Amino acid sequence: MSATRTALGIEWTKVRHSPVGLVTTLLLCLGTVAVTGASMASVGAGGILAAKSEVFVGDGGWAGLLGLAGQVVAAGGLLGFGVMAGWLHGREFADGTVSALFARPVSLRAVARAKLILYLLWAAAVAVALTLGVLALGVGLALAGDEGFGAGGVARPALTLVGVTVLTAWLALPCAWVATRSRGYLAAVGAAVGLVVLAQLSVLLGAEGWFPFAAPGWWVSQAGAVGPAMVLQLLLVVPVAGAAAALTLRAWDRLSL
Amino acid sequence: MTTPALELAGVLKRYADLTALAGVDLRVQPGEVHALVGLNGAGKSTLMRVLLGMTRPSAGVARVRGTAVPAMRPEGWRGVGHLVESPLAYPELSVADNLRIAGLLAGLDRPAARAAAARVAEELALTPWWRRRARTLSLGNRQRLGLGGALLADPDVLVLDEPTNGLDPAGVVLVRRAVLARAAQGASVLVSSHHLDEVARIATRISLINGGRIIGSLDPGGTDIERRFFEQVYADVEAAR
Repeated sequence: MSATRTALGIEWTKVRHSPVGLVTTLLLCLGTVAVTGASMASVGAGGILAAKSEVFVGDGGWAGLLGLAGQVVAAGGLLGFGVMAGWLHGREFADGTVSALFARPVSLRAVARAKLILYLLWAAAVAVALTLGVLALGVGLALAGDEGFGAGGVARPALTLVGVTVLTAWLALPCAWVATRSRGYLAAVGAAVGLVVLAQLSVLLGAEGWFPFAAPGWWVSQAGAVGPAMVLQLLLVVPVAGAAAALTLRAWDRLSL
Repeated sequence: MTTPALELAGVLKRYADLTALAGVDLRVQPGEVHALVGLNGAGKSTLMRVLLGMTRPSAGVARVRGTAVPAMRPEGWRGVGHLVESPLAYPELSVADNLRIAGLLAGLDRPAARAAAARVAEELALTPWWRRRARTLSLGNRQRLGLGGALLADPDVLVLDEPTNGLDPAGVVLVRRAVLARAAQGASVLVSSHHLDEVARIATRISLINGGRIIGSLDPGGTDIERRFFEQVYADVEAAR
């Protein structure tokens, strides 16, 4: 059994029993469904929420519902995923267990690698669960008699929502590095808030999707359209996330108490 | 010549304006229970952290079974058990899960980790709390849990920093038995403690550390060990003035 596989099993045991893992998962999934549902309900009712929601919902239908959910994830999800990435890495310092991870056949690097792998797998599962939740919401709304929600054309916006969620999770990886360097998860939460603010500012300043942390939100705001510029903007997420993961591994490799 | 199980050669450790270790030479021979005694802040924990690769020395070298710590491969740590600073006790996990995790980290496979966890829980009287979450344990039981994690994989090298911290007299006796049992099996033990009487009962050698330097030794079989400890420490403090 490889050291990383062993560490992966250990990390899974910890996450499985932790209220942080459960609460974050529920907040991301149910929170997105709830906010999306409330926003949908506000359409046509007047007010600030309605005005904003109507922009994202556009012509309505599945694309409108899933696009709205994508916007919710691109903003709020960064915070939720940042908390999880920060907690996974920062908890060893906060709980005082980090010293016990030194001088082991399962190296610190293997532990850090396992944390990253588990985080990415968990994020993918959240993306699927969250999308299924929004689809269920759509079915519920259609059952309520909204003729705008037919079954046609659901696959593409649903896959876009999965993609937006996964990319948002990748973009929260700097929080893992911040948690490691700051030796706790509080700074990582602050970093996640900072990333959300910076992403919003970049859009307001007209950077569109060129600021990687705003790229998923920009993509979904363009109704999932994939032109050459959009492909490049989304691809920029990969080196950002990759660099954050590499820096995190390096920080664990060189950890000194 | 026998290779020491643990060795520090000219180890210096500086933190900004503080010198925690000022050129420490120390050897723990195979099968030896080597106790390290000193006042708070003397450098005991820093010394152990250097030996376990938790912190890098500013100068000098630390070796484990003859290999310099920076050159240690992960596999080289197999058979090294330690309890330094906080115990391995994830608050949301049960005693059983925490011990199993300690076993897996120590390189045991799943069945062996499970068996070792049960054995160590029995040895350290943790069985009544087997299913209890670590967050509900008393300080003493958390310490026993951490010690259990250090003992799980039948280590031939043990590094224990204040293992009796927070323990009641029964717990202290359990730790003593556990350390002596490992030493009888040939394990090399480096242990720090404030309890001089306790140290005298288990150690084959006692080194005194003060101001980041090894300043002398004590005879574990000698009498009035506390008085001799303070004599040497105060003499060192006076000499440093």
